[in-house]
Amino acid sequence: MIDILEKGLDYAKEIGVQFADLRGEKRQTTLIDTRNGNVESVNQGIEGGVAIRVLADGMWGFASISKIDYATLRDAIDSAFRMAKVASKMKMQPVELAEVKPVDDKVKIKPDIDPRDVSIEEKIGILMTLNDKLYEFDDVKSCIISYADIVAAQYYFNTDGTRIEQDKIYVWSRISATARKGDIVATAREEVGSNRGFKIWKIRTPESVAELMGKRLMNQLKAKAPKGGAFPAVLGPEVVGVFTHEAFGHLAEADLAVSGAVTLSKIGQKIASDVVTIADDGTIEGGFGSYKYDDEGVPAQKTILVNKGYITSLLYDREHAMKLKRILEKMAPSLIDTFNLKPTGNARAENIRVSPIIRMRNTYIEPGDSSFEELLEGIKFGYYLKAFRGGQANLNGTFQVGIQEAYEIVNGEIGEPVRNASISGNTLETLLKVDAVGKDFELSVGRCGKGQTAFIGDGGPHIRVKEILIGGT
Amino acid sequence: MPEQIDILDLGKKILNLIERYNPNEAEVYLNYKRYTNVTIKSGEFSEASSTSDLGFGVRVIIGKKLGFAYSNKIDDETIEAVIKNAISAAKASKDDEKWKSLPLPKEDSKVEDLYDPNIANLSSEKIVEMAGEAYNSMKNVDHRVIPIWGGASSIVSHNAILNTHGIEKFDKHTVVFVGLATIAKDGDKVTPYTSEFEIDRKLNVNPKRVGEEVAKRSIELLKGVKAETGEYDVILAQDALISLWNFTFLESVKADFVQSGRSHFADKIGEVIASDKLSVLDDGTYPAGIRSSHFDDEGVPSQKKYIIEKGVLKTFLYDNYTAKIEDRESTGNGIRSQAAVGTMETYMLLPKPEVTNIVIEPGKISKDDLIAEIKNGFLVWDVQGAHSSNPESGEVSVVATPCFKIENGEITGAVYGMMLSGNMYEMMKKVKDIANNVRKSETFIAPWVSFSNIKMISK
Repeated sequence: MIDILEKGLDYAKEIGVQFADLRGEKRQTTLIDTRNGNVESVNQGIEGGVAIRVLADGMWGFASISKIDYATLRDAIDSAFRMAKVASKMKMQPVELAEVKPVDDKVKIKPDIDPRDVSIEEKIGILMTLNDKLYEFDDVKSCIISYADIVAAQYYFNTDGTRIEQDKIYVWSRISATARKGDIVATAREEVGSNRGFKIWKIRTPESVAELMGKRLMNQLKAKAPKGGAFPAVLGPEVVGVFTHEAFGHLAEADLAVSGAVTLSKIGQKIASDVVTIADDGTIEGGFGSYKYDDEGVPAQKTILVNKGYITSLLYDREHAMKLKRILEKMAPSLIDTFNLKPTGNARAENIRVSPIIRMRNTYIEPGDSSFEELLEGIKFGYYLKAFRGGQANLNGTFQVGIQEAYEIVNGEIGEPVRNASISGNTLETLLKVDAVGKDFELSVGRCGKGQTAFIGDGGPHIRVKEILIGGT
Repeated sequence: MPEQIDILDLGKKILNLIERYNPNEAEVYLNYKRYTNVTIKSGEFSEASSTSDLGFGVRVIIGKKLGFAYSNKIDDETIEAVIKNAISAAKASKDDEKWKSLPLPKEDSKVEDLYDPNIANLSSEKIVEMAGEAYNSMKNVDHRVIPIWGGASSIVSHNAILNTHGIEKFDKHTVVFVGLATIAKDGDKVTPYTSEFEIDRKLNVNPKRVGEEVAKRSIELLKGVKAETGEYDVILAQDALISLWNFTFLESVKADFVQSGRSHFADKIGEVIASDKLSVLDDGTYPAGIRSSHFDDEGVPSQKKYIIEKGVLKTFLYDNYTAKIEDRESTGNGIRSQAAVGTMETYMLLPKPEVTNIVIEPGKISKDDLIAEIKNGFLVWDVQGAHSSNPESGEVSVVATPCFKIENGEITGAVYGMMLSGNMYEMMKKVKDIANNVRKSETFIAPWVSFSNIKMISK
């Protein structure tokens, strides 16, 4: 692989590209699907290929191949080069890349347990235990589990001199269950994931996941519907995570910001209350969105997006770091020295069939100094929102998050469970209403879809919001 | 990857290699795909790409255990490894008592216009030109219109499917696409986004129309009007209706959903479930339909069948596995498209019941007459949040966007943030009228449909 990539880069320089990068990959995948205790499919994949990206005449050309030899690679480089040249006629603002220091590194992961060393029988056994334990709860009617493990060897080589070999391991599972009692249907969803290996199933044992989900379902069956309206609320780490990711994080992605997200007009301004600091961090040990280098060879790092209420950076790839700099030069030159405009290491590609785009890593609110009891204190009536069921946001800054586990707060104490709640509102208005931040911290496992799927982490401490719109569904 | 590779020959070789292991049954699916694309993003041409991929998936059955494996590496060593992976997956799996067998060979359906050499030979220059024409036509209408995404692309795809019962099939497909999604910006005012596209199996798309249409609609969206919560006559344009149906009605007529006991329609075959004005087909043989083919992804001939005929429920959609559970024939709906995690190619996936082309039989009146029939109501172009719908109950609660207000038979302006809320299975009984403006998308060939007494909630 390495020799072919080196020769490919030499060839790209020879034909006169402005810049080129090659991402080689070899990947092994195991996928298992079970439904209500039946094994629906066991699937094992072997994949490989090279993604070719070429910058010529200010335009990106891209090609990808699955046959790894020099002749095929050379043809694909020609093709990407030609595509870029042809399309460059339509380009208004030529692509410029922010400078980064070339890197030469080999990132070897020593898995805690290599999923390839675990038999398929054992993997199925874990899913079956989870299924059976969940069915021990009354009224559970369905349990659907998807399991995946992916082991990849990746190569990133570019014409700036960067040479990176990087291993990746993902072990992931999504469990969806429903319970039904009379007319009441309760649903619960949970994800388990690790980028270090199979040992996660010893930490999050199938029994403990089933227990968590079973209790959540039972709680919902006896829960009451929420009152609609604006109430004070305490958000648990999981809900804080999905809110931070969906409602704020996407607005901070520079490609979406230049497409018209509300953040562009707020650069350098105060958009959240003083107690709010938001980070997107690719370096957290064990974070499901962590990695050492992104798919442009830029080191992952901790990026502070909001510092004590002020927006301090967006999330960039090399192209958009430069693009935003050009925009600020026109729009607000005084901000160029204080606002971060360096690539943040957020360029990620789902596979070798696509180019990297700006994606989050582990996105969270930084812990503060309140205890959980202090957050509840003084709330006469409100809601404690503990686990989410899905969320979405729009570029104009509105969001909606469905809640699968919630409780009333009555006179500063946790009260009865509430079913099928949702929260919605305007992201920036909501961030300004955060009046206390807990001292605890938890990070969850998630996936994010933006045309491509990425494994991410999100979380934070418990936080209190003075007022948030609660709806039923 | 050269297109000269005969994937049917490669399939025969792989099937022969599998047979040495004596599984009870085996199947090989192969797909070659060449995708040429020009992307417009954030107001600009952003990337031009040309990708190709060839991969294969192997399904083996040992006793009543199923195993599956795939690769996009085509060399002797990998082919052997994939076969062994499929066999080890089967051996490790549990018995599926419902398993009967893979499909038996049958004669293909005759379907027209699946492959157009003009698309297969389309140059990258021509694809850039198409995207450019759409973009320029858009800008010529009004400079306040900005593209959020879009572009033009061509796909050439070769499929082969073989199994140990003697199925041995090969097919070639082409698709061409041009589309734009735009917003209009005027001072501080930004419209919700809207999109327009054309997709076809023949080189028969009109980039100029796409650019002009989307631009005109974006400009119309600048004029906002107020609306009150209430029950109204509502026209659902194609994108709105297919979004809502994908997460409700169409989910509920897939045989696996029915057999899991979750479908609202489980015991309603032969019953009236919708207005007698409504006839809906799943037609895998529709000429130049985007999901049309001679056979489905497990080699069963594609078919045309009514799901709803004049309001009466006629059939569910079956693949080979779900059909055999009920001792009936597959309806040719075994499609490899449902990935559990992330984006996956067809050869990485097993077939599941899935729609081909959903066709609504058109009415006789024009879309303008459909609007003219409405005294007080809305035209909903598309919806957001349809994935939160409940396929079991049919409940939907979505943001209608773009959404236009209709007063006395005329569109008076755009309404922002309006919610459409109700039960799709009740709505289908309240069809008011159907227009004749049929449009083709990836899975939907249909005109506008108007419904009576639909709840619309203003924010």
